Amino acid sequence: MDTLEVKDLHVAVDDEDGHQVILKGLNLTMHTGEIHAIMGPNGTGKSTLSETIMGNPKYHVTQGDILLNGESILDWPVDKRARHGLFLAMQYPAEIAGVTNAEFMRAAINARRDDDHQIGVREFIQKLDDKMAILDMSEEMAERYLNQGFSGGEKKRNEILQLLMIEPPFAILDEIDSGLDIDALKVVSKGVNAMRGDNFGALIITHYQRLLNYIVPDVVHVMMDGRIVKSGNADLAKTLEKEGYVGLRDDLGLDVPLTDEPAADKKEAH
Amino acid sequence: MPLTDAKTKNTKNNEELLNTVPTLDEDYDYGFSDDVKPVFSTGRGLTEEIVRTISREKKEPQWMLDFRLKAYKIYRRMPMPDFGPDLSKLDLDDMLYFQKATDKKYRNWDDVPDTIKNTFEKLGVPEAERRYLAGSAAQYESEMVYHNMKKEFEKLGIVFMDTDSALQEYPELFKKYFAKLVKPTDNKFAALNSAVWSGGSFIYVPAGVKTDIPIQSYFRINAENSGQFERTLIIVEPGASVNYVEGCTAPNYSSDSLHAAVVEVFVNDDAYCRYTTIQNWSKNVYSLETKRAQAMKNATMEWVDGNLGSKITMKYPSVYLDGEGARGTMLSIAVAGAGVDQDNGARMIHHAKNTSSSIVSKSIAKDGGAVDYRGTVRFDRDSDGSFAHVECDTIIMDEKSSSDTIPYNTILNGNVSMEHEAKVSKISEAQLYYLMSRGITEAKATEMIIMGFVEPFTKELPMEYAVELNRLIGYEMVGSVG
Amino acid sequence: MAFGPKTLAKQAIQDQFGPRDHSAWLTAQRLAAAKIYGTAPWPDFPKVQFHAWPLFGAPAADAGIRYPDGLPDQKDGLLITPLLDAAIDQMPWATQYLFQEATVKDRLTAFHVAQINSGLLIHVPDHFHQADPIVLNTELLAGRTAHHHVLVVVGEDAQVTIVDRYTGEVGAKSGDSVVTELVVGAGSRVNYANVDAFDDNITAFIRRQATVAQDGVLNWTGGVLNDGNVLVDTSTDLVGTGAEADVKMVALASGKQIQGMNTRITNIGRQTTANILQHGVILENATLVFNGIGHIVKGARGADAQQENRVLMLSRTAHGDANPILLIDENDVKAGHAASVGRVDESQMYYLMSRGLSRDLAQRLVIRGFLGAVLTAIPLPAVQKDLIDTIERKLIHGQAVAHAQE
Repeated sequence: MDTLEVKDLHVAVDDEDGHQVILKGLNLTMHTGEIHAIMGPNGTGKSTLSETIMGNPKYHVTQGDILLNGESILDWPVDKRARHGLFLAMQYPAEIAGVTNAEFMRAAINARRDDDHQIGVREFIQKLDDKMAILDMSEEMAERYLNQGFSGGEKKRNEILQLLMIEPPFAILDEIDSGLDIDALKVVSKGVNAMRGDNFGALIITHYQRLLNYIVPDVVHVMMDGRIVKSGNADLAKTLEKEGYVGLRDDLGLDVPLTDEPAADKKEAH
Repeated sequence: MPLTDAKTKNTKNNEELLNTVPTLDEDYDYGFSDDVKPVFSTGRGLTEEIVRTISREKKEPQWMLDFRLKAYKIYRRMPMPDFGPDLSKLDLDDMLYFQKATDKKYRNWDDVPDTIKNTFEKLGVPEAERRYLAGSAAQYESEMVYHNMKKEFEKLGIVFMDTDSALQEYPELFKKYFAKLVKPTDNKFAALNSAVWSGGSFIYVPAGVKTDIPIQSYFRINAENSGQFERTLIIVEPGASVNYVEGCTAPNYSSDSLHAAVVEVFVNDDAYCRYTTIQNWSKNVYSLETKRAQAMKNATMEWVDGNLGSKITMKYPSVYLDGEGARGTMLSIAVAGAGVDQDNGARMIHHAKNTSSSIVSKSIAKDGGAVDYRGTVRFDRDSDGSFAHVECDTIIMDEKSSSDTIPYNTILNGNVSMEHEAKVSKISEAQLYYLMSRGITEAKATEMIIMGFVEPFTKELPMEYAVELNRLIGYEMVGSVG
Repeated sequence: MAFGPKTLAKQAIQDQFGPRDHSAWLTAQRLAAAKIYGTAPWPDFPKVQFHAWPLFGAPAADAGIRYPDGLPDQKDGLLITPLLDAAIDQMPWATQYLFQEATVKDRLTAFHVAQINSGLLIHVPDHFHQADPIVLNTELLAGRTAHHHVLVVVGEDAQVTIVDRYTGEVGAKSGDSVVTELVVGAGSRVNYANVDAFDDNITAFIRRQATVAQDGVLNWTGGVLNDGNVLVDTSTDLVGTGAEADVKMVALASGKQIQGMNTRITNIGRQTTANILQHGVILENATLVFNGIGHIVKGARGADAQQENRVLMLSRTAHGDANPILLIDENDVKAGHAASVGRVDESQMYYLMSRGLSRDLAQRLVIRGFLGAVLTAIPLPAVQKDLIDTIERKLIHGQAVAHAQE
């Protein structure tokens, strides 16, 4: 069983508006075999948490630690974190012309293998075909340039396809449901559920409860103002859906402004 | 599903080459040299007498000797280029201007002297010919040592031979086209080439004859301080098509060599020519070339130009769009590493109605290299309804490297349109982060982004060349992350 | 007169200007410029053959210019002094910035400096904040060669709008020069608008050189609408960290004239931002050359240099050049350029004409739209209108010429 721990995490980000503190002492422990969901209003630091765990150089940890199986990963570059088991399905994946999807995924798989055990062409194609079938993706998607000209829905599917191909112990899904219609949402959920098992743990970041009808979480955390303010089981998400974040905030007696700024979350990801 | 064959083959090809090619420089596979005593050499430096000697040695007609002597005078008189890279270190007096490696030209590899044959074996030339070429030629120092054309293509009436032989065998055709596009007065190095030219390819494709299978020439400099001055003349008659490929390598030396070619391509009405160059000179070669094509009515001329090596390259292939509806394209990449100055570009001269041109240039500068785009698009008075598109993209890999983009767009007709775009940046951090977030190392991710960047070029190459080019760029990228 | 004199005799300069200059410092600067004149290179205007233009007019004995509206009021610490009458030696802000070494290194500028016969020194103090623009109307007098020099120094944290208009009196020919040096102090925001509208009797070399200090912002709009052969060099050096320049130029060339324009921004400081937008229209047999030059020097990390050059050709016999040049010596940068040359957009024409507009009117509207991106950025409505009227007048003339040729 693998363990991912986030301890007293404080994170600041440099963006166009200057230096901002986003996470203010966040704690979270998860194991493989568990699906966790993090919900919270926009601008509360959900994307910051996922990018910081992955190792985006724009985010600076000012206090606290992130541990993978007991070892601090703060000094690890992003590729090392990935090879040691972390995967982030991004909200805004980069587009790279000239590099095909298949070529990219093969390189990603081989990056985890030593030179003598690179994945064979046939094995790779077989696996790719299988996984694309799960996600209802057409074959030509593999030969298209990486995310280049993909629609929003195609990008999300492609992120999940990579998840299925790489099969990491831990996946963070950052608003994988945003901009998806109900059919696409089902397909993406099917992909994630296909990964479920003792050797896989996921952290699902979402604004809405809807996704959690399809990927039922073991634990639900609510995040506000850079911290986790409440944790519970799947019912917590349903309560939230009914009462809203304002209701929960008032129940908890928190002094957090909830000016839902739709733009704020996007800015974090860029 | 077709999976990136290039990548798969890439590895294999790599192993093959590593086993067969002695590596003298870890970045350059072709830096080896052979101990070949030329059968004839004019020695160092250039005089009028040497020009006469070259012509005498080749048993040329009087008109060619006169042409050479006139060009020699022009060469002496003309100034060095007043733009671009610094040529002040180029020691023209120390060059060997004419060296003959063999007494005759061969049409069978078995007859080629062993040392020279071995060189081309190492470079994969006979292998390529067997597998996927319609014809193949090989130049060693100043002259072609080998040329051959598969029977089925010869039967179509296609002429493919070295330019010296063409002067003897097709004197009238030769005289009609020779030096009609590139006059000795064009620039100092065109004048030099006109005075001392030797070797190069002559291709004549009769009207209506089409070949998609490439014809290849391989140019090899072997000796130190060598000058190579090949002269290539391609005539594509109406409705015909040809696909020509040239490759160039040289050994590593501490002193400089000079490659000053002149290429003239005549593409007649409705004809098509693609001219592909993979220039991979060692980093002691000055490559100062003059390449020019003329496209007549509804003809298409395509330059595909890859520049990986050399010390300094100055090359601006042009297309004179002289017939209505003519098309000209340039697709180029340039990679400039440590100590390399790549000054490349293209010239598109719209000189008839409804002509179109496209220039796509991809450049990479690293380890202190300089890579410049220098181009011209001109619409003359009579270019009604013409169109041009120019795209220049540059990646500067590190803070030691630099890039200039110098495009001139001159318009003398109100009824045309032109679009030009250029971008210069470092490697995208967002792309790097994304690839690395999937576990790919920074070095590999960088290489993938670069390969993707040049992909519009590599996809136009015949597969075998694409594999080779990817491998070479991969080599260039090694150690560029740090 | 073409190509200019081989050398400028120091004694002649001394004799001509020494008695008139109110500052020995100025005379010394003239002599220094005269000294380099003979060996200095021509200014680099790619694709413009100007070397034989009559640009070397002997300066009129008294000023070759006048200010039809007088000079702006001096209030809130604003200082405006005629250059030749100033005791420059006592004005450290002027001696610091006037004739900066980098400015006087080409043959035409050296000639100009040696022979200045009119000019202004303008000082905008720190924290100056005035909503009303400072408007300078300068008229070059016919047949009386002017070598006019203006220095504008804006202090720190100031906000100011300057409108600098040049016209020429119709009449005898002359070869003139106008050089403006503009210094934008740290944290200042300067809107600078220039309009050059000389008649065809004036052949001119116009040069404007700006430097922007840390976090300074220069919004520059220029209208180049001369009738004669004119060289216009517009250069900005972003020296301080975070400095910004946004340079928008419109140009219209008609008749047989040649207008050659260099519009250059050099990113020197870190995190500097440069934008160039040039829109030009060419009529009749005229020539218009746009050289846009974006230069990022080594060390200017985080610099951004963008430029766009658009040329509209309205005549088959016009000659246009759109040369967007990028010179990049640093890798941590974003740089891009775009250029296009084309005709009037036929779909726009169709739309307007479907509403009953004549072809000529529709064409003028489309062109005004094309130039609008720059015209609307001009800070003073009266100047904007003046510019639009000038363009309109030239377009109507051009259309008449075109109809006559049909």
